[in-house]
Amino acid sequence: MNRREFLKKSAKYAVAAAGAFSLSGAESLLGSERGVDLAAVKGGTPGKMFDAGINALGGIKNFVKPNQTVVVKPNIGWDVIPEYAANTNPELVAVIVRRCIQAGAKRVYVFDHTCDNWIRVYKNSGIEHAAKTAGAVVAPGNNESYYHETAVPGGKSLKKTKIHELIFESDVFINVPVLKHHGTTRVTIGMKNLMGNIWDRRSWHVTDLHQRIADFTPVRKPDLTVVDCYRVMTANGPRGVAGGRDVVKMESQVLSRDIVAADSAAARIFGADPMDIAHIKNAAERKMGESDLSKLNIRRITL
Amino acid sequence: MKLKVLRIAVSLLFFSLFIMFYFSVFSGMAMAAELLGATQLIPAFIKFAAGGFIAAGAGVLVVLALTFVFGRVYCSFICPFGVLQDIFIFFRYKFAKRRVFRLQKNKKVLRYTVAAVVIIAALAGIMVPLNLTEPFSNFGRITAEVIKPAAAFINNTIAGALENFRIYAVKRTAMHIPDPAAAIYTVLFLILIFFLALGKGRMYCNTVCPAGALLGLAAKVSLFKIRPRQENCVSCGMCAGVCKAGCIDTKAKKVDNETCVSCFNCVAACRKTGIEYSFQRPGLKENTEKREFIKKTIAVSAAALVSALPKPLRAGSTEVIKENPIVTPPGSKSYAHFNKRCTACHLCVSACPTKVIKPSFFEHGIEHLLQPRLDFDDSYCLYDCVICSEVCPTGAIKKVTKQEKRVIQIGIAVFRKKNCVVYEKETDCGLCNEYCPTKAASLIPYKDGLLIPEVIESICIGCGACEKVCPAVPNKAIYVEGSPVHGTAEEPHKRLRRRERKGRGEAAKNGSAPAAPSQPFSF
Repeated sequence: MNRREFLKKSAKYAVAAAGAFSLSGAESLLGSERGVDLAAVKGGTPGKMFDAGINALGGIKNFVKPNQTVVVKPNIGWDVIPEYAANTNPELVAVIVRRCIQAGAKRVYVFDHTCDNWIRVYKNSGIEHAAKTAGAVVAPGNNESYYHETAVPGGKSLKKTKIHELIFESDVFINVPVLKHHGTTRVTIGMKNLMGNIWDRRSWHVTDLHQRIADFTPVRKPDLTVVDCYRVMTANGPRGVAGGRDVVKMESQVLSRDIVAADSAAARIFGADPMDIAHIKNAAERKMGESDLSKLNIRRITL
Repeated sequence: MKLKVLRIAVSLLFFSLFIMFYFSVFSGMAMAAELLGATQLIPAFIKFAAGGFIAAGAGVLVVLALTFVFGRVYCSFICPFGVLQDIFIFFRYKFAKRRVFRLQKNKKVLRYTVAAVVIIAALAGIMVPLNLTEPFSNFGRITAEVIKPAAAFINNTIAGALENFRIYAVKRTAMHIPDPAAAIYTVLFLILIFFLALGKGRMYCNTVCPAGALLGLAAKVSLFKIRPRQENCVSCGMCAGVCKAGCIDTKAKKVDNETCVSCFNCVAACRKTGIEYSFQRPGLKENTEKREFIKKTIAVSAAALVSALPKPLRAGSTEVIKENPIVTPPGSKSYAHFNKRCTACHLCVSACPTKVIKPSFFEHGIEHLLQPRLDFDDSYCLYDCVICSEVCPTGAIKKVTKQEKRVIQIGIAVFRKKNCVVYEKETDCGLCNEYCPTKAASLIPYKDGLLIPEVIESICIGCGACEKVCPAVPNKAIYVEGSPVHGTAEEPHKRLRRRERKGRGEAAKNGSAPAAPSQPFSF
């Protein structure tokens, strides 16, 4: 894909995003008629929970069509082992990749813009190995050349930002955050995980972080958000301290097309009111998704 | 012929091993690093003297024993800087118009003066003469500052080209941003050594190199030697023409075994059997008194080095300068420990995955020229990484485990509230807290629900993550002051818990921990 194609595609998505932004209120009203809005699974391995959850949402074929390209975006931020729960569970990533390929995906990419040194993070998180073994193309996110400037329609603080090319090029975008504590945003789930799609995070931190996370959410909304709550870092996040002593095995998972709904449910699993989390509250008020769980058709599954 | 082939094979093996060493092929293989480092005479000696490292000590003994038996085989078989010069010399043999070398004077006065200055200065804690002359470190700097960046450039160009097709098989490699002075010095030195090797063969090894000077003393009395056979030699000069050390006098039919680097070119070149490499029992006609003197000299100077090196601190180094930009790698104990043992081989610079270790030029002071330091401008020291301590061949960075490293305080963070964006712009930031591996950069309530950093010094290890990510411009709001003597940090979890009990913690003051939800999620 050359630059012109990229710009064209970006423009297309920007229009689509703007459309989605204005229609999202209506969409969520129709939610209950379309079947299950959100699946919440408890008990079992990350892989088994995914299979149960995705079935409740109508199966992976509802999301991935033959010959499509898929980008799976886990949280691969920190140079720690999977047990410390600072990164998405590698087994979950592997199962998602496998299911996409089984559904006929042409290519499945996995990447993140890591915080620590990317080569060590990809390796020590266990995700590079797991994803490659499952058949994914593990792509780097550590160089500015992969990121292209894109407008942010409807952004209150964020007007434009540089976004990773795979996010726009891929037909399907699956967001796979891990639920954990975060020093500044209190919790980090799906919307916060989208900060791995952009290049210049530092500028967000100096200007209205919570607003910008919400602003960015509709730019390329994930087609599916899978929140890994298998191991949950309950304090000292997002990196964690002293070898995972704050990690609690919650053995849960939340799946939804609606990133705001997924974040709201996961926040409650964490033990937080989503309305106390500035960026979730902001997104909910701007109708980017539904945060009121009582308005959602939730399938609760215990394995 | 056979000996020369053996020499080329072994030397290329060692050379490629050392290149791989610098390219971090052995990273995580602490044993391989230890063994390779142990083959290098001066670094291994420094490491051995510092605290009885078995491999390093054995390495020194093996090199000395080899020399007493076989002559300066070290210089032609093992020393990567010698082999690098041989590679240059190879081009002269192949392409130069005038391919033959000439007889060189044995420049004893120069050689011993340099060696004496190097040893005396090192004993006094001034490393610069050693660092500029020591062969392994010179090879190391050339590899780290010239060869590796060039290879990284080629690699990243290829990677970039493939990425256009969404092929990620070639990974971009991280490169340290070279200190301009260190890089320029190294390039100039490389040019110099290139022309010196082309023109004068192994002159460096017989004038400047302190290892060459010491080994020459042993080679003089070695059991095996290159010897002209007076009866067979026709003084044709073939051997002298290929002698890169210029140590063969064909007219007088003499070989200077002190400057001979045991490359065996001469034996291979001789068309008669006029020169041979042979065994002769020592002491038959040589001056034993002189030999004893030499042996004693070596023993005494070695003992002097041993006794002088392990002393923990030099007077003056412990003084804390108020704003201290120098941070030395975890395991290096103190400025004094590090400065006294580092030969500036830049192996740690090369091996560091985050490239936080950078060569310096004058930063450590003129007497410690080119020794590296940690620079948090665009990188930081990873919490669980101990690679530099595993590769250091001199023990300047003592080997530490991950467990040990996690509490080694190489510096302490300082917070300047007036520079902080939370204070300045009244917006949440928390980047330092996010990256901090011990949460020494903690967050406390500020105003209007905002959180502002506070440093818990007792658990700070000085890794520099906070400084690197701090978005405050032009002056960082949080930065690391180096510790001239490394401290031991408190175990973070205990400290954080105690803090929470006292009501200073995040949860206690409605800080960053979330409040309990009105209706928790039920499955």
